[in-house]
Amino acid sequence: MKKYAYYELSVIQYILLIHGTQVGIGVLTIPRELAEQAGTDGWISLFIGWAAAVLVSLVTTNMMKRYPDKTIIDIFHLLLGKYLGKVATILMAMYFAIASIVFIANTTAIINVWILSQTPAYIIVALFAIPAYMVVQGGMRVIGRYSELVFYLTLWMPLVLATALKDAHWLHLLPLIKEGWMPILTASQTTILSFLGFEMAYFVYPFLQKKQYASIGIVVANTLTLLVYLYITIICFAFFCPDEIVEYVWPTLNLWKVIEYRFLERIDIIFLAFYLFILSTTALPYLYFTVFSTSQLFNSRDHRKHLWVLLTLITVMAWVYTPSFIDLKKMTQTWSYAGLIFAYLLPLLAWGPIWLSKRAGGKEA
Amino acid sequence: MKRFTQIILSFVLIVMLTGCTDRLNLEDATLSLMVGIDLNEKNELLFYMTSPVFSREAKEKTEEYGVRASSTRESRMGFDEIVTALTVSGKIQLIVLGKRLLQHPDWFRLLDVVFRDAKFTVNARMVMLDGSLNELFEYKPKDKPRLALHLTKLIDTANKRNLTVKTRAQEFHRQMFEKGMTPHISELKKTKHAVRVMGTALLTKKGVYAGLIEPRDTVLLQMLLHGKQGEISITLPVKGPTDQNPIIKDRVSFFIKGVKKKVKTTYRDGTFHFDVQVSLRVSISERLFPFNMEKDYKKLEQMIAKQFHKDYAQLIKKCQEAKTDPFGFGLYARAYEYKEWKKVQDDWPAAFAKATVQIKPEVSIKGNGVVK
Repeated sequence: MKKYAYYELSVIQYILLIHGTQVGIGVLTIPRELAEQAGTDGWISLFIGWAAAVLVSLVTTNMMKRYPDKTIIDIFHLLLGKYLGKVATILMAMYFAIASIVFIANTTAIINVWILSQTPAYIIVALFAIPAYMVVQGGMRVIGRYSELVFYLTLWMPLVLATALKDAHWLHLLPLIKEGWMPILTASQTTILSFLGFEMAYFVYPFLQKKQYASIGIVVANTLTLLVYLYITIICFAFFCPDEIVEYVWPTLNLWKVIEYRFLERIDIIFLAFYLFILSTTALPYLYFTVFSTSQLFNSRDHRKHLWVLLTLITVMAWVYTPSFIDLKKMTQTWSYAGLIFAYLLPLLAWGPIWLSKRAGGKEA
Repeated sequence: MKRFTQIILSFVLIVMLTGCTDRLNLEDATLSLMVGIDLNEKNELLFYMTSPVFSREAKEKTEEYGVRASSTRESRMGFDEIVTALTVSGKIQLIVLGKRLLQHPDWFRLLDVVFRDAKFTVNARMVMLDGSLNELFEYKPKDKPRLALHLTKLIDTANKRNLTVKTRAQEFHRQMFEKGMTPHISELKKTKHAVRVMGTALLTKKGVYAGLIEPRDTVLLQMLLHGKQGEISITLPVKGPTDQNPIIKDRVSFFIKGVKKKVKTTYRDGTFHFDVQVSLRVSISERLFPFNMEKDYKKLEQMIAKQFHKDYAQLIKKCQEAKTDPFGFGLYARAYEYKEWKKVQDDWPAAFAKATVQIKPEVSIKGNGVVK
């Protein structure tokens, strides 16, 4: 009876898949974004963003609980009927496609600035596309395992980063709440968006083996993400002076640049190369759910053909058009708004009707 | 079929990896280890660089050139025209600035490329040279390794004994942007037979040279900035109860074993007040006058504390007069008196010049060496 039984995920994979999707480019930019709006009090906003994300994630899991064996797309079809359901699925696929494309474009841009400044963007995209195909074609279970593996592989990063603490100036963080609560609240707009990724629950929930851990799992995932952001932000705030940090586009990378050993310089390059793994745990789920939605749309059970087409399209797009840094900013903005709608608004709006329909419909679903 | 696709994909991946156009063979790279920026008499910018030569046929193992250019990146073009291979800026150990250049405000903009270009290292040590850069870059000491490596070592070791600061480019960037402090870098001088560490160059907020802190005062500065770092050895004159001896003066030397700093920041009567409690744990390493340590060690502690107080007062007065705050007292002002700080943050050095700084050293002698 279970449609997705073959691909079941363990609780750890569920947590790390969602956590992996949340932690992406945000880690590189969030210290600056917070400092721009709230100075060195910005880290407090992270808690507000976390609270919002946890709240909405709980609503989402609660909603998904009503139909434990269905993804959001099946629910759309069930509730909205055939045609409206298709429209909703197309919108969903578009959201994930935008997310993947913006994400890949951003990653490529960073690589182009920091490591391979002379290499054309499409070669980098093509190099991403091949391993991406290899992982995503395996479906949910491979992606879940991949996220878990990457998490363990990158556990050394916070330890190395701690060596930057010897030059930290903790006085930067004082006084607390220097300009009142307003800037902190403004900055929490940014932090709410940096927790995007928990919307994976729409799709991941039916794959989860032990559904009783779904709520706890998503809270753990959000909290892990909060800890990562908090760690990076506080180190950056203590290391860079408050007037300086807004000068850097990716302060976290500048932080790695300073770390130096007798036998090794330019750790930022190594870090960034490794960080590609972390970035991939964001890109791959988004890619997967794009093709998952489209293949459901065409009622095909094999998502690989769609994946192949999507990746080729992205590579060709990169070849035809490389976005400038201003375009990238606009694209990211678009993604943020779309994320606000799909991740935050949708569960809040849909929860009521789904709850009611379930009540009225009894057990037929 | 599946296996076949995988093999094809892996093959494509491997073939394309070498296709990255950023590849640079080591023999095509000229690694500049030290770069310099200076002004000539006609106020034209001069850029210098030196790099090691890896060639069996070359007799000299380094090459050094100077070019006239209007910006750092433009100077790279000039270098590429003459050096053996392509200049690479990722391994620079020292950025040397001429004293003439530092007499002009806003020269810091010349370093924009260091922070904008991700390939540039930000760990180069910032150095000011009292004299002409030409002389330094031409200098080829017979008893020393390659000049750039020698100078790097010189600064690192001098810094270990706290004779000069070690300001790396990234730290310098912070000091330039931090409103609550003024930058300070190492100062060198080329003498007839050697390159000498002169101490620490004080710069104003705009980067203009404002004075020199000698090595013995740099030790005091470093203690306030970093606490105990490296090895701190201090020799102080103290009034001992001795007969007048024309050759041997009343000196006591000691190692600092530990520094604890507590800053109390207040704002009253229109100025900032900083009360700095410095507790020092010392161990005597040399004493040139007779003294009954067992009975009178308290007295010696007080004498040392008094001398410290005097030296610190002098150093701080000097910095205040030069309109600089290398200590970063502005950070304390921001942290503890934020309201008042906001009013003066754009001209902190002026506010600091009016501030009252009280350094209260507390000395406790923990060791007396292996003789009585």
